[in-house]
Amino acid sequence: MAPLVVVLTLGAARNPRHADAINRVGAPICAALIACLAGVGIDHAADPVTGSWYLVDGVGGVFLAVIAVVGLTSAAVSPAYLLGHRRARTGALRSRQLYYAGLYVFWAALVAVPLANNLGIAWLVIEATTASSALLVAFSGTRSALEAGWKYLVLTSVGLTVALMGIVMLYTTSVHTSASLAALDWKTLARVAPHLNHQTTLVAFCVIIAGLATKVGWAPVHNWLPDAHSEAPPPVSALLSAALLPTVALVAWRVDLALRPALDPRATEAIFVGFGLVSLAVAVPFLWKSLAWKRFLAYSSLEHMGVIALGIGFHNRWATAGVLIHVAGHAIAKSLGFSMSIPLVRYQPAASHRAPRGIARLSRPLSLGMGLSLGALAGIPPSPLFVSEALILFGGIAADQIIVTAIAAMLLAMGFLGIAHMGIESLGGTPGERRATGRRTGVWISSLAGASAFGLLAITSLAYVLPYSTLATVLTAGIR
Amino acid sequence: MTTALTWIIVLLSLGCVVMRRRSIAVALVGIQSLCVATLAVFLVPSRPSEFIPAALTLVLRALVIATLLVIAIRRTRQTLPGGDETIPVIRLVVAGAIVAALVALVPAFGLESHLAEHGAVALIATGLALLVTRRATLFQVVALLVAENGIALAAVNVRGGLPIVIELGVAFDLVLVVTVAMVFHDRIFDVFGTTDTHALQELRD
Repeated sequence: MAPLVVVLTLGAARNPRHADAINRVGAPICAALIACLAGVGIDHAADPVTGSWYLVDGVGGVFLAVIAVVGLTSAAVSPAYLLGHRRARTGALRSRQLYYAGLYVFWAALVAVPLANNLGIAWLVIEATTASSALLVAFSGTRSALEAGWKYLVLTSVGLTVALMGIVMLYTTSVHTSASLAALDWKTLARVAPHLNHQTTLVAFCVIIAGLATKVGWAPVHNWLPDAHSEAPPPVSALLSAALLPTVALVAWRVDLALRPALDPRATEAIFVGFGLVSLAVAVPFLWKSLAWKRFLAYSSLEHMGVIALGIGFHNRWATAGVLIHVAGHAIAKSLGFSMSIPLVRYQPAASHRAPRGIARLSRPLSLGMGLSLGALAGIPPSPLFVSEALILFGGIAADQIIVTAIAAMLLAMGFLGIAHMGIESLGGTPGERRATGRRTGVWISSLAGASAFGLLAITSLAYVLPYSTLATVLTAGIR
Repeated sequence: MTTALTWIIVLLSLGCVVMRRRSIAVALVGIQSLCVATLAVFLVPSRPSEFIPAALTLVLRALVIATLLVIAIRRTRQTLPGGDETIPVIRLVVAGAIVAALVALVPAFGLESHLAEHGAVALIATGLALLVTRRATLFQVVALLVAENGIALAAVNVRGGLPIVIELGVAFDLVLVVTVAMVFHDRIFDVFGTTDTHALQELRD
């Protein structure tokens, strides 16, 4: 609700600075409220707080914390983005009002996803994120942004329609009398799962996961992802990549946990592991290409969603802990990376359509921020992604998936080399053109990089306690 | 009556595959939506009272979406909006193949009639076929609507009906998505001068 209150307040803005001020005040308040909710969830990992349509549990709490941090960062850097953005069709105030309204509606819809206690409600909210974010993707109004926005809207909408068909199939299989929304509650599904028709439930499960996969961006139904994430405004790209994709993956995870009693574990494992390996295999070659910064980060998102799919598929405490750490670490690193693209195009305008070069010579704070993001995403210790990937691979060994784990490790190693190559190419070398920016730019870049480094180290420190924590134990045990 | 309506609904979706003109395809999908709504209204006497708002929602949804599409067509008049597409017979064969494959793969899942199950799957398959074979942006929206009509056909035939919250929510979401799609459709026509999605090919690696 808090983000929606900010949207209503935007109408009172009289000039662009007012709109920016409403954003600067509203964002921390929204983030604090969401973080409180996250704290309640993590505190109640063993005994979730449930209502007729909402659920506040441990894993939801982790995802809410991620959404709070990424949303706050996106809102905080939005004024800097809008300062450099020119819109021919609307004035500065109107464009800010539209942008912030879209951003906060998107943020509100994202918050609702982990809170949904019901598969049907979760679908509705995910669909709502599509409508709000599609317009944001095309915000710049350029030809490529329109193309990216259109692809994103059509492909994810059709995918979610397929998922909805799976939900209808599941509902029909599980309910035999009058209409009941409660039939799609996570706990109800888990309770009736052992009594469901196995074949129909498996088909429904496959259809739901295939549909949700288009929204998560798992290969081979990922075609919209590189375009949308590279063409959207950087704060929106951060929300898409760091918050939306993992949050929709959470819904797929919950479907898996709820229906496990009805399904052959090897079948569900094969589906998630399949998506994971294919996503890794598709992403890695692009990490070796010389791509524009945001497009590179988009393919990195494809890689990391593949890692998350593997962790979900392996389904043991090690992999589960790895997934949670990966989601949190990826969120901070990716959010930092996209935020750095705002000053990057000011220093080096050509970096909007080709790989950046010589950033270390242009700006030390910017090279620090970009280097930190790349290092974290590559999984260089003490990055939490190093720990999470190690946990997930160990989880794969524990699940007797030796060959899969070996292939995944090889692909991750190749991905690491690709990111290292990007780091050397973008930070080193001769920059060519240069545009000066103010001293304040360096200060906020350094502050953001410092805060991100602190967050990444904090997440790494949790890695030692998470595998045997209540959160991992409860999640591995399934929905009871 | 329900059998005849179900067959009409399926045949209308195949009509969208072969029709060249956007206005006719929009008319067909509009009639299809109204047929699904009519089916729901026919089933009201044999359903709990909560089904009435669901049936009315389908009627309202059909009318609102048809209106949006008609406005979109009038604002973006053009010849050959889809450019040089594949010939209708090939499109029909592709659609038929996808429909046959999915109907064969999907087992019975408990709707009140097998015909409704096959019809719902056929509509989803036809929607996917439309997405693959048609180029104009409006046809891609029609593809989404055909698939959603498949969901609606299944929902109408669920014993006891779907929960009203889901029915209302899906209808609202669909209207929202179609509205956003129409905004894109307008902007694409303004910027590219055409609604042929083959013009949207700038982003490559």
